[in-house]
Amino acid sequence: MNQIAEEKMPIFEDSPAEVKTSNEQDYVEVKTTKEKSDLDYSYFPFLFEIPQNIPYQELTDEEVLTLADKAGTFDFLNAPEEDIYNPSDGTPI
Amino acid sequence: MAEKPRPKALAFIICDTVIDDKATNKKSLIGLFNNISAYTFPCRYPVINVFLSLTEGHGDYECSLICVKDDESRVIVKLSGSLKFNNPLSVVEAKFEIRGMILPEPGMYRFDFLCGNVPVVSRKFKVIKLERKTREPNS
Repeated sequence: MNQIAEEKMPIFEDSPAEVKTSNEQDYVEVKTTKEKSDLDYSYFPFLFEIPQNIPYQELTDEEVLTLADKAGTFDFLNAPEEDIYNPSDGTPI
Repeated sequence: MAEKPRPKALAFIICDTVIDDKATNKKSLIGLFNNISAYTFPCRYPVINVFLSLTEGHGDYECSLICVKDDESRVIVKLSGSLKFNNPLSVVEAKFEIRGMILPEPGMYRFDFLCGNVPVVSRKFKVIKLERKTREPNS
């Protein structure tokens, strides 16, 4: 930016600025107001937690075992290859 | 008595997150969307944010944000409260963070914002059912 252009730029600061016009003898006062010109502004953050209305009930141990049994979880115990020990195996501690 | 003028909506946006920068007081909206996809229904959407900006309001308004299924007008969520405008030039913004909203089925839904039971602004979004892809056996 050259020197002339720089001089002609109004300086918008808190205090009134002076700008030289093309006729350097005249001065134009640039009015800058100190009053607050911000728009009135409000912000409201809201948080809503919607409760989960799915009924939930803990299963008893017997119910868990019954479910596991009926689901076939323990079926592998009936396989012949699982019968590798008999009561005569080993020595009791 | 003449009815109080309704506020004018400047923005009504659905998004994932609204970040409020405490240093600059600026808001950043992250993850704007118009569609929600789910494999099973009813589905529970973890977090949905509705950002609203209003102006040209006069005094206090009883407001409500409702989410309705568009084709049946079935209300899914309704949130009510009051907003205050200090003067008509005031800009009032609000963020509604809704956690765990349940969407019963696919289709068109919409959010309506009402001031004194009069709709001010509305925004539609679509809920889509995704089909699970079965993996092709290796040939």
